[in-house]
Amino acid sequence: MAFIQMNFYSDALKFSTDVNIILPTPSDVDAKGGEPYFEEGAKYQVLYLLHGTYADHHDWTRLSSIERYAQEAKVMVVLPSGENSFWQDMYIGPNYFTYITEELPRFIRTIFPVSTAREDTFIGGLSMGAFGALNAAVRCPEKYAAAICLSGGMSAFRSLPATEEELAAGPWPFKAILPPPYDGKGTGMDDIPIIQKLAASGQPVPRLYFAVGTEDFVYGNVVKTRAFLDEVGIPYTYEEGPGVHNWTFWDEYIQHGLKWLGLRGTTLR
Amino acid sequence: MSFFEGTIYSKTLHMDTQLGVILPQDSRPHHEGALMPGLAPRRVPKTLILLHGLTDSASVWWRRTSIERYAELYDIAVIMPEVYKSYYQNMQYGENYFDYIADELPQLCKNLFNVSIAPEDLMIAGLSMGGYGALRCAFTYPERYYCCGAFSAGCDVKAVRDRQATGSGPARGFEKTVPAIFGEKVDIPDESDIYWLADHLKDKEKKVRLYMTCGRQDGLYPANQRLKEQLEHCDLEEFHYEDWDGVHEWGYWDVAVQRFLATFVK
Repeated sequence: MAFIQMNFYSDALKFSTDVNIILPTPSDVDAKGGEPYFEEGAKYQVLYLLHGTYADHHDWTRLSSIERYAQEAKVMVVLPSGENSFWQDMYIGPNYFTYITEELPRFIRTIFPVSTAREDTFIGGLSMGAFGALNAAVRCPEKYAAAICLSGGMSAFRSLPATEEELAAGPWPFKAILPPPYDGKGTGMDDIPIIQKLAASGQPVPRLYFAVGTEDFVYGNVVKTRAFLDEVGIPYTYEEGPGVHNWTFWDEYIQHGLKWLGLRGTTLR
Repeated sequence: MSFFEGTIYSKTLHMDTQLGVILPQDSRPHHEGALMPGLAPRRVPKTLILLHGLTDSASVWWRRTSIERYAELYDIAVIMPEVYKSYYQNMQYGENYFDYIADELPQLCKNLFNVSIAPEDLMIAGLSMGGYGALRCAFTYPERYYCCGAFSAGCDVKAVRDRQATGSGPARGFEKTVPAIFGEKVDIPDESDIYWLADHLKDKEKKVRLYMTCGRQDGLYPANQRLKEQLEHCDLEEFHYEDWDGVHEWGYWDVAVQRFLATFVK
């Protein structure tokens, strides 16, 4: 297993940013005697995995066993850093949406042996990252085969601030993320019309997986997200189980999500 | 919690060496630890030295398990050092890794971080080769540690030597390491032999608290059973042994380290 901590200049962000990368390789234990470790021409399936609020690119490796699950599934995992931006191109601030959906994949494809096919490209995340993953999947349905959304759903049902108090409270800099009057209308976070348009377009929609703990404070938002997807006729897989908004839940359900992706379990040639 | 990876200079090893460190910090929201008020002074944490296995490196524990979450639950510091393939020995042709782990590392950590290494606060544990390392430290210096955890320990160092010297098994290439560790005659000194050390625990004033486990389908299970049976007749302060179905892999140790912490840290 290779674990790569990388820093590179991002033109979308206009600063150098950290990315952690998990690249499945045969361990000494896995390797059969004499077989070469690294296959020329291998192409990995790749999962872009987004962190939640309060976090950075280290969170998934620090608080879950994602490397072990990625090794078992033989999928490359890319862990970017996005501040508390909701993974948006901020009104005042860095362009995180452009970064994770355009620049970072292009960069990864340039320097790592990954498949460029939509069917081999996935996005996922937890909480704010679940929102980011869903947001990327519905705004760029041509780029992703599937999205894993743990403990999060549509921004329209959770994140958009309605009052001055909500704008002031919490860790999200909505006055930097969104243009005035900060209600998100017409922006990338305004996902009701985006999803309605996608459903009506007949375009292939990425497969969607949602999981949420029954005691999680975002449970109601996921209920609303599901109801909306039912209404517009977008299929999804849904799981719930006992749990709250924490890493015990995410460590377990990222494993479910990886299984649900139906990965090939090999590096592709 | 806070998490560091870095490089320290070891006088014992005469070189820079890698260290992973998890230190208690006021929790962020939605983590399992209790939320602590602001920057209020907090107690100096207990310290767990957590050792890696033969084909691993210092980063393996935080990469393959959720150790930071478990450390947070018990509000302890975790120190993850690097020993390469030394088998936690003072090598014949190489550096003194046993002395580094047993003598230098705790004091270095106390000097660098606000952690307690007092005998009632210092813990040592590891997996596979690291289980051996933890056992050797605790059995050699029972007075230094509050408790010890050995997960799927490569406790029979003679068998490890014999198997690895042939260049077969998972750790191919170890045949060159064996003479570097033990010398050309490949003699295992008594003080490196866990079974010998176990027999001599009766001579130690301070008694060991030990948690030990090994997967029932693990190739090291028989060696661990042999040690377990012997330890049942040794004079230990506490001896907790349990096993369940599992092989030599990280899913097992992710559970084992939690069981170890639940046994000894309150």
